[in-house]
Amino acid sequence: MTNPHECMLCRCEDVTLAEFRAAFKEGFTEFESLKRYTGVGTGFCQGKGCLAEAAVELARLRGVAPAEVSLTNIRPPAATLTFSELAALPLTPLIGDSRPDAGDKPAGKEAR
Amino acid sequence: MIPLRSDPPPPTADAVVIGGGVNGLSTAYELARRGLRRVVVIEQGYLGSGSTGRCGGGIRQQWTTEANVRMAQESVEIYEELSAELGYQTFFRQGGYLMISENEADRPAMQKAVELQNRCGAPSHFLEPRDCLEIVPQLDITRVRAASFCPKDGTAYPFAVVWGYARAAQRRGVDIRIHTRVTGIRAEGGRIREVVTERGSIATPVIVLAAGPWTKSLAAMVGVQLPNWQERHEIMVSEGIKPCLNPMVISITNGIYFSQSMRGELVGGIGDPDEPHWTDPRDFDTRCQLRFAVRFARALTAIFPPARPLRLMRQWAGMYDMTPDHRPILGGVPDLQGYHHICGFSGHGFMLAPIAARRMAKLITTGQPDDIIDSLRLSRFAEGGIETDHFVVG
Amino acid sequence: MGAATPGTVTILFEGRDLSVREGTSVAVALWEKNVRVLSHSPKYGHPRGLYCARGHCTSCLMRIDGVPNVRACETPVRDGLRVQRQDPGAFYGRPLQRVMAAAGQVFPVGFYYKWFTRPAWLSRCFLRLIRPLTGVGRLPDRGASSGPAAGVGEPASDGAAAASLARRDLGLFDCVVVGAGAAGLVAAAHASGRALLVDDHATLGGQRRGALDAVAAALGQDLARLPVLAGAHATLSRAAGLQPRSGLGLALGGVIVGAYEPDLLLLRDQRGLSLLRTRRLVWAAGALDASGGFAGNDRPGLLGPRGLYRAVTRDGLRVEGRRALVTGVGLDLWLAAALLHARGAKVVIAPSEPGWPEELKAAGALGWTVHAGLRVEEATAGGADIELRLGPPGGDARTRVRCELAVICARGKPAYDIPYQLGARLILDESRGGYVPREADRVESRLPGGLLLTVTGEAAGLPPGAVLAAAQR
Ligand SMILES: Cc1cc2nc3c(=O)[nH]c(=O)nc-3n(C[C@H](O)[C@H](O)[C@H](O)COP(=O)(O)OP(=O)(O)OC[C@H]3O[C@@H](n4cnc5c(N)ncnc54)[C@H](O)[C@@H]3O)c2cc1C
Ligand code: FES
Repeated sequence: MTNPHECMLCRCEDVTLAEFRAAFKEGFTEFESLKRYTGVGTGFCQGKGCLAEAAVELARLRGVAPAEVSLTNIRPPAATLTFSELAALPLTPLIGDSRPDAGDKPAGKEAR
Repeated sequence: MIPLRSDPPPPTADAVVIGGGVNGLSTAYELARRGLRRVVVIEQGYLGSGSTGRCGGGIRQQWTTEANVRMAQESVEIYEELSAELGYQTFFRQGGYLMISENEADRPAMQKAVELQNRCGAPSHFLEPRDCLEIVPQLDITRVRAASFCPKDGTAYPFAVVWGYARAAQRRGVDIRIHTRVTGIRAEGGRIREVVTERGSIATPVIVLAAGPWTKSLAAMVGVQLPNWQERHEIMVSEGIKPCLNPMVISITNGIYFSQSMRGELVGGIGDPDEPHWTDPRDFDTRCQLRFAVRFARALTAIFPPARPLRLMRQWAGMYDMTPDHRPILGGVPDLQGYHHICGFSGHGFMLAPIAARRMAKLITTGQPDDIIDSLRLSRFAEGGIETDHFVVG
Repeated sequence: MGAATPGTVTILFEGRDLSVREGTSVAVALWEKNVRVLSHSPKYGHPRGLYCARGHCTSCLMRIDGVPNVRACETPVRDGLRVQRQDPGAFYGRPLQRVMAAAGQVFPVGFYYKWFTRPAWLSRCFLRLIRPLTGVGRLPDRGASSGPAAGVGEPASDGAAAASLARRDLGLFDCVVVGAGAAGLVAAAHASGRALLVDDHATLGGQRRGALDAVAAALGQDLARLPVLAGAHATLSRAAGLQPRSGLGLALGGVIVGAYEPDLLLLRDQRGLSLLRTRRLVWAAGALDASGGFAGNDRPGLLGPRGLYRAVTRDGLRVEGRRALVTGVGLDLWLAAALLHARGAKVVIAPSEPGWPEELKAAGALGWTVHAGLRVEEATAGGADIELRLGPPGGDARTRVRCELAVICARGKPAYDIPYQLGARLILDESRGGYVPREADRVESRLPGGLLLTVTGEAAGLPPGAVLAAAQR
C-alpha cells in the first residue's frame, strides 16, 4: 500500500494525504475550512495541482458521492499577474455597471 | 475542534447567538465563560464564512474617537493573551501600524489624533516622512506628507481566531451548528421567545444578533430598525516571500492598506469610493472585480516600489457593515427583553470583537450597565450629537 | 563570461557560469546539464524538478535576475541571466526540514495552532521563531525588472500612457474560443461575428499536436503499427486544416490569465496583458496532468505527458540515450513513449490497464521494455535518477525500474478555472476526471451575468479518444 505520509496531495504547500486525513478527523469536515487549516489549494498554483484530488479524497472521507462535495472557492486571477502588469491596465467600471442586465436583480449574488 | 454538526438544533437553549463569525463565536465563548449553560451558535455557512473570513486581520488603536481608541486598546490587551487563553495560536503579531497621508493638510489632524491616543494610553507617535524609512525602508517617502506609528498595533489570522474561539467555546459546552440558516425570530409580549432555523426551532429567552452585514435584516424580523448599510470591499494576497515588512501600512489618503502575513504573503486592500451602499441582502454582490486589482496595484507599486515584480495570487470581496458614525452598535433595545445586537463595525469588527464580546456577555449575564456599550447604543442616532471616527479607511 | 560556442549561451547559475543550449527554457537547459533539483518544497524541503513545463505548478520556482519565484520552465535562457535556487529552509537550514519530514507523524497537521500557546510569552517566542521560516524567496533586488513574465511598463498616470492603455482594451467579441485543440478548432470553424481563438501554443492543434507530428515524422511508415497514434494524428491534422472563417482573430502564444464576471477576460501574450469582453465563450482548454496518488509522487524526474510534450516539442528537451519509463493509461501512454522513442530515449513502458494488443506488439518491435499490467506504488530518488516500484493493482510491488525520467499518464483533469470564475456551476464528476459544468453535456448554457458558455473537449471531461472521434465527424 502507498504510504499516505509520503503521498503529496498539494505540492505547493507540502500537504500530504495523511495530513489532509488527519485534519478531517480533527473536525475540519468541510472543504473551505480544510483548505484554510491545511493549506491545500492555497499555494502558488492556486489549486490547479490539487483541488480536484483533494475533493475526491474528501468525498471518500465523508462517504458521499464526489458530486456532493461542493467546489471550494477559486478566486481570480487564474494565473499569477505582477502588480506592474496590473497597474498598467485600464480601469474597468464597477461590476454592477457593466452587467448587461444591470437594472434587473433577480437574486443576491453572494460570494461563493 | 469537535466536528461541527448540521443536524436539527436542540429544542431549547439559554441563549442563541446568530452568526458564526468572530463576534458571534467570541460572544458565545464569553457567555459560556460567565457560566451560561446551553448556549447555541447558529451559522448559515461555515465558521468565518461572513466578513470575518474575508478580512485583513488588522488590529489598531489609532482612531480619532475616544470610544474607538479605548475599545481597541482593551482589545489589544486581550489579543496579547488570547493564544494562551484559548490554547490556540491566533498568530497575533505586533508589528505596528504605520499610518501615512499624502496630504500636507492632514498633518494637524494626525497630530491631534496622536494626542488623543496618547491621552488614552496608546503608545502612538507622529512621524516625519523620512522617519518612516526606519520602519519600512522600501517606502517611497516622496509621496508621504505626514505619518504616525503605533508599535503595539498588529495583525492576527482571522480563521485561527475563529477556530480558537470555537474550540474554546465547545469545551465550555457551547453547541455550534453550521450550514443552518435562521429564517425567523419570534417575540411575544415584549420578550424574545424563539429562533426559527431551516432545520428546526429553538425556544430561548435570549438572542444575540452577530450576523455581520446580515444583522440589519434579522433585526427587522422583530421590528428593530438599524440604520446600517453595507458596502463591498475587496482585498488580495500576493505570493509569499520571506519577511520583509513588519507593520501594516495604511494610507488615509487613498485608503490602501497592506501587511505581511505569517505565511509571508502581502495582504492588502483599497477602498473604492464609487461602491454603492446596500441595505437589502438580495443586492449583496461580492464578486471580484478587475477594477480593484488595477487600483490596488497602482497604489501599491507607487508607495511600495519593490512590489512591482511580485504577483497577485488571489483576490476576494467581503462586506463592511457600516453605520452613520462609523462606530459599532452594541447592546439591546429598551422594549424587547432578551434581544441583543453586536454589529455595525464599519470595517473594524475583527479588532474590536474580543472586547465587544466580553462586555456584551457581562451585560447579558449580569444586566449591569456598561459605559462603552451605552455610548454605542442604537438610540444615539435618534438622540443626535453623534461623533464620527475619521480614520475608517480601506 | 567566456566566449560562447555557437548554439550556446552562458547563464550565471548559483553564481557560476554555465554554458547551456540556446533557444530553450531555463528549466530544460538545467535538466540537460543534469541539474535535476530546481527548488525545495516549503515545509519539508523535498527536492523538486521540472514538472508541468507549462507555468502551472511550483516545482521550478527560482530567483531569476533578482526576481523571486519566477518559473524556470517559462523563462528562456539568455546570456548573463542570473539563476539561483531559492531555499525556503534557508533560515534554520535543511536539517530542520529533514527532521520535520522524517517526523511528519510526530508533528501533527496544524501543530502550530495548538503547540506552544501557553503561557503568553512562550507563544510570542514561538511566533518569533517560526516567522523566518515562512515565505519562499526574498524581496526583489532593487531595480529588478518586472520579471520575465511581465514585460510591461510602469503604471499609467498621464496622457501618453493613456494611449497605451487603449491598446490594452481589445473591446467586445461575439465569441472567444479558448484552446485550439481538436474541440476548439471545430468550434472556431463555426464561430460567427467578431471571434478570437486563443491558445498558449505557438501552433494550432492543441497539447498533443507537436508530439504527434514529431512521432509521425520519426516513425514514418511505422506509425501505422501504433493505431491509436496513427488515428489521432490523422484526425488532428485534418482539424488543424479546417478553414477558419475569415475574420477569426488568432492569439497564439496567448493565455487567458483571468476572468471576471460577467464577461471580462484577461489575455497575456507577447505584447503583455490586455483585457477583452465577450458574449460567448467556448472553453476548450483541455485537461491538466494529474500527479497520481502514490508515495513520492513529487520527486524530481516525474512528469506528466503534457509536461513532456511541451518540454520536448517547445523547448527541445534532449533525451537521447536517457532511460525513460512511461506508465499509466490512455492515448498519452503511447504518445509519450513514442515521442521519447522518436527522440532517442531508451523506453520502458508499463501500461496499467489491459488491452492495446497491436500497440504492445509494436512496442516489442521498436525495442521498448514492456511491463504490462503494473502501476506505480512508490517513487524514490537516487542521485540524478529516480527509482520506481511497480506492482499489479492490489498485489505486491516487486518490479523496480531505475530511470532518469518517468512519465505518469493518469487521466487528465479538465481545466475549469475560467468558467468557474465567470459563474459557471461546476460539479466534481470522477467519471470525467474532475470538475466540469453541471450542464457539461449541454451545447450552451447562459451564466448568471448573461454570458453564453460552451465547455467542450477534454475540458468537458471527455477522454482524448472521444474528442478526436467527435472532431472527425
Ligand atoms: C475586505 C475586508 C477587510 C477587513 N479588514 C479588517 C481589518 O483589517 N481589521 C478589522 O478589525 N476588521 C476588518 N474588516 C471588518 C471585519 O471583517 C468585520 O467587521 C468582522 O469580521 C465582523 O465580524 P462579525 O462576526 O460581526 O460578522 P461576520 O463575520 O460577517 O459573521 C456573521 C455571520 O453570520 C452569519 N449569518 C448571517 N445571517 C444568518 C442567518 N440568517 N442565519 C445564520 N447565520 C447567519 C453569516 O454567515 C456570517 O458568518 C474587514 C472586512 C472586509 C470585508
Ligand atoms: S498543488 Fe495545491 S496549491 Fe498548488
